[in-house]
Amino acid sequence: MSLGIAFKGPEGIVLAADSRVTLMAITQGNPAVPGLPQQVVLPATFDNATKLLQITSQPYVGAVTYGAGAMGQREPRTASSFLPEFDRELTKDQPARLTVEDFAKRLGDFFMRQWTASGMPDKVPPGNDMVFLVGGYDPDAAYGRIFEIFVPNKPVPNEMIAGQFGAAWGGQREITDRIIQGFDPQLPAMVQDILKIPPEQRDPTLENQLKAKLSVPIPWQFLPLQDCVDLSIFLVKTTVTLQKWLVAIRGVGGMVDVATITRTEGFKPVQQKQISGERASYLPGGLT
Amino acid sequence: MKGFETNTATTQDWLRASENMTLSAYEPISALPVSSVRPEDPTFTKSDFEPVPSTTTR
Repeated sequence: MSLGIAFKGPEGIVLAADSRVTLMAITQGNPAVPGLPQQVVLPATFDNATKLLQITSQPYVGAVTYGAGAMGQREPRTASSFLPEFDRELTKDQPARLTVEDFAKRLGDFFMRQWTASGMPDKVPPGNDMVFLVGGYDPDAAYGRIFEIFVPNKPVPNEMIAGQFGAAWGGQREITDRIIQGFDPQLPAMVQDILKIPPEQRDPTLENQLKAKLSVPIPWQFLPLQDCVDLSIFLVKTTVTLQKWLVAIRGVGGMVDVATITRTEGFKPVQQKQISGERASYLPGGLT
Repeated sequence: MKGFETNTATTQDWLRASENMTLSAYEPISALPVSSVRPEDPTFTKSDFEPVPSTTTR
C-alpha cells in the first residue's frame, strides 16, 4: 500500500511519502456460525513506518519506498532498517559521490540481494514488489533525475520524466490519479469493457488521449520548489483524508514525511516525524 | 491490471492539456529606470521600493 511521490521541479526534487504500514492477518472463521467464510482477512495498520530514505554517505540523493513493506517472514525487515548496511557497503566500495543512476543501480542490486537472502520469491505478482523512487542530482547537473526500481521484478533502474519536469507517484495511486490525470487507472479498460470492444480492436492510446483532455493543467516546468512541496503534501494528505470514509483498504495514513534535494544543499528534510514520548500529551492539569 | 505501476505527469502532459495556452514567466518592473530610484537620489520616496510581485505567469 502506501503512497510515494517523487517530484522533479526546476528548482529541485521533492520526495514525499505517508507513514502507514498495513499488515494483513489471515485467521480462521468461526465454523459454528453458518454462512461465514472459512478464512477472514484482518488488516492491521501502523502509522509510524519510515518510507523516506536518506543515505548518510550520499547527500545528493534520496528515495521513497512503497509496495512490499518488509522482506522475510521470520525476521521481517523494512527497507529503512537496511540503510546502515547499505551505507556501509557504499562507503567501503565507493566513498566518492555517485551519480543518481549509479546510486540507483547500487540500491537495486543491494535490495535484490537482501530479497533473495530473505527467502523471498524470485518473481511476485504485480503490486507485490518493494518499489523505490530514487531522486537526486548528478555532480554539476542543472536539474535532478528520478529512477524507479521494482524488487524483485525489475531491479534495474528505469529513469522517469527524463528531459522533462513533473511528478511520479505510485502505491495506492487511485485518488492522486483522479486529481492529477482526471480519472481512475481502471477507467480506460473499464470503458472498453462496457462498450464490449474486443481485445484486438481496443485502442491502446485511449489512456493518453484521456490524459490529454482531463489532466489538470499544472505547468510543471515553472513550479517553484515550495509549490512542489505543497503539492506533494496535498496529494498524500488528500488520499489519507478521503480514505477515512472509504470501505476499502485504508493503506495511506500517518504523517507525511517530505524532503527536498537541491543542487546546492543536497538532501534536506522538510518535515519528518520524530520519536516522542508522552510530553506532548501533558497539559497543566496533568496527563490527558 | 492497471494501477500497480508508477504513474507520471510531465511537462508534455501539461502541453497537451493546455494546447491553447502559452506561458511566459516575467518579473514586472517599474517604469522608472533603476538609476532613478536609488535611495541617495533626491527624488527618492519610500513608495518607490514597494515590493513588486515575484515571478508570476500570465
